[in-house]
Amino acid sequence: MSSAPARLALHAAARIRAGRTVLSPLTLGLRGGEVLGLLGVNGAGKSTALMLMAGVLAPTAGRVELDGVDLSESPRRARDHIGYLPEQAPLWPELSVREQLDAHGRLRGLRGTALSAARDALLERLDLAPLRWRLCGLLSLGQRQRVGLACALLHGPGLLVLDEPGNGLDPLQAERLRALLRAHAADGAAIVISTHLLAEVETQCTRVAILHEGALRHDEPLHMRADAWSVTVQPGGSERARAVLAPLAQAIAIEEDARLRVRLRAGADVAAIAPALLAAGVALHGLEPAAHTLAQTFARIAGGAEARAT
Amino acid sequence: MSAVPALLRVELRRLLLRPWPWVLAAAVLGWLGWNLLLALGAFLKAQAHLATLPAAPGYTDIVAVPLLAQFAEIALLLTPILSMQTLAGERRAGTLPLLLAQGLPAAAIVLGKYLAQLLWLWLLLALVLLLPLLLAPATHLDYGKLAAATLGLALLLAALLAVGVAASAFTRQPVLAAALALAVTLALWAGAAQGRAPQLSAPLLRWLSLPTHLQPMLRGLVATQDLAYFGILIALALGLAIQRLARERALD
Repeated sequence: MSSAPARLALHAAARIRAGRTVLSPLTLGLRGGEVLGLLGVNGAGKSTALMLMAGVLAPTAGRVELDGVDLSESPRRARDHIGYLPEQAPLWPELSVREQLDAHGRLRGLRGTALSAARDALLERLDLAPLRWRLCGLLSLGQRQRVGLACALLHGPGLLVLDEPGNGLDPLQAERLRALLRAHAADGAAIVISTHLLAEVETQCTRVAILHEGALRHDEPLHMRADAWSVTVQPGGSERARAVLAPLAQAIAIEEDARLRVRLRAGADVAAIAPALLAAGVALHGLEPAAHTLAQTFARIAGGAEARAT
Repeated sequence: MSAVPALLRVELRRLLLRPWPWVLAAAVLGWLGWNLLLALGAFLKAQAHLATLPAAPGYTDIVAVPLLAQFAEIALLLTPILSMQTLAGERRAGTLPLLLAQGLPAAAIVLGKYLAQLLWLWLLLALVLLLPLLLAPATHLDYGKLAAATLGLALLLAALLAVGVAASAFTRQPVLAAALALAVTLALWAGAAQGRAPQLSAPLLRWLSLPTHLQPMLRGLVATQDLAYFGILIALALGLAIQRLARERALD
């Protein structure tokens, strides 16, 4: 974990509408270079959370900070440093693609050559150059999505908030989008992506957060998921197994009488578990990754099991 | 407020690219052009009679100003149609969050959109004004009276548009916004008739009504209280729209 300050920080940011809690107090930090995948079933509060992050909505309670500055107190920071793409990119249908980008650029404060250079670069990069004179009202879903993305990227924002950015994109365009987002993150931007496609999260994101019923139920870096293992030993052997595996483990929890959840120390090899147990005379009945797949975790939370447990 | 000119430019461009404002403008100009011909015919026919009167009304009173008064009545219907998309349409199309995401203050969004539509309406007013002015070389025009009537009409358009923008801020259905704006406008227009009733509220109703403040200007009389009335009405309506939009970001 880097000690760099968070680019985006939500401090117990909540949203209440007509007496109903749409989003429970949400505390979350995101540093530059991180890509957060935001998951949740329909109505989980994802879009509200994204709109809070993008500065479209102000939190009813708590605060949202961008580089340490409260967005409610300085909404202009949203204009200068946030790129937001809502679901189904909303575009003005009367304008051509080029006019659309120019209009967004001007509203973001870009002028003259800075605007035209940024616009032309994005038209090329997102394969929109052949469409530059086409009216936005005549574009296909995928084309609209690319124009929306270009509008969000035009001013080189330090925070990108994207709601289903892959909507309507063909596989080639989706790959291009991934490459673009990777490059943007490598340049130090923080990115939040809301999607229903778990594979997209696994390929693009460094972290995953799951919202359920308006509350954050899960927030974990993706790369930490495979260092935990579920070890099943002979009945009644869990205490002895714990003692044997202690030198290899960062943390051990006994989940059931004969099953332990073992998080390995850095550098420890999973292949050492079985010989250690066998040498101590503990019968090993099973060894598998303890961390659920993202799909399993999501299903568990969305199904309500984790919600009930917490 | 530096965003107002940028938004004004975008909105003007969008307005000029849409076909229906031009269709509306063509219909208005066609109708008023036809009425100009009818009024001109009546004016020419009455020349012999008018010549016998000591202070006979001229071309300005019989043709030009009534034409502008007719445009004022058309504007009652025209402005709700024009303004209904202002915020309700953006909300419905999902483009309003884009504007809010750019950190634009509610006042900048409302003013940018309002000014763009107002410029378009004033452009239409200029075209309408050209109709009676076309005959200026061939007749005697009272330019002072025409200027006062034009000012009255420009203010009326600004006030009606502000009411329309306010109505549009309170709903996501453009048709509903148009109906609401029309209802408010008609209530303000009919206030003068109700104001004639011998009731305690009659003076207030009369003061609130649009014709009370428009008629003097159509007669060539510009009074500070009439200018103030239009100013208050515009500020009130735009203030409501701004407040509603700011509330949308904070609470809805």
